[in-house]
Amino acid sequence: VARDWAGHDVFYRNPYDLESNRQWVRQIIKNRQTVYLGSDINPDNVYDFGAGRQRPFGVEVEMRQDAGYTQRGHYLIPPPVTELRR
Amino acid sequence: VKKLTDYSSLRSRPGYGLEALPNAVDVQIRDLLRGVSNAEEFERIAIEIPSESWNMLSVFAQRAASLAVRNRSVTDLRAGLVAVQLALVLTDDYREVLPAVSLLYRAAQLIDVDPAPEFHAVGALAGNPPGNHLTQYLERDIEIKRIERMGFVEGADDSGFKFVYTG
Repeated sequence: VARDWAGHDVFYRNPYDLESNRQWVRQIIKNRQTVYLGSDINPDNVYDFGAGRQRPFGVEVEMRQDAGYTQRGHYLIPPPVTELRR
Repeated sequence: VKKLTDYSSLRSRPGYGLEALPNAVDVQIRDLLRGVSNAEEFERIAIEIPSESWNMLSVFAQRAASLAVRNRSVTDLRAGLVAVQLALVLTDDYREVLPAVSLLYRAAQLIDVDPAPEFHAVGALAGNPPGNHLTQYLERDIEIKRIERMGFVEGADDSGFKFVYTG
């Protein structure tokens, strides 16, 4: 959604792989960037019930929540510097 | 009157990926896909099945990759490839399907089958659509083809070889 938005980083690596996606999320967390959610955080979007595991989007959301990000509308907001968890 | 094809095996089944290998659903889906031997059949099934079937097809393809290695079976490998190609046609997010592509590539290597002709043959069934993520996968660097990049390792369960998701 945000691919053409000024000032936005969008993970669009070709070829895609899950590990590169995670590295990108770690970098976003390290840089304390605010995240626009292109998808709703709901069970079907974060968990693949057929496969029995998290979807890549679910992994991203969990990594950010573990780092202290909080949701505000369509955005995930980084925690204050003093609260940023590694 | 032409007999209608039974697609009930493609209905969403929570936990399918975690069930013991093989199970009755694996056999049903494999038998369903066995009939897809030309472009006309591929197009027919791609039109007839609900688009949300991509998820079951993707999970089946991952299971078929494990079974191909376990049984040293090109039949299982090809069923997985047809499933994953159908999933790629139906999904709106190809990234969700790429782990299965990765496992099928590795499965082919493990049973000493050249992946390229197998991938291209199934890509041709789908009419070689531009930007086909199945055949494009062959162009990846070796490092990016590793199944670990998709969160998987080679492992086993009580009954034999299995690709295991480790996250």
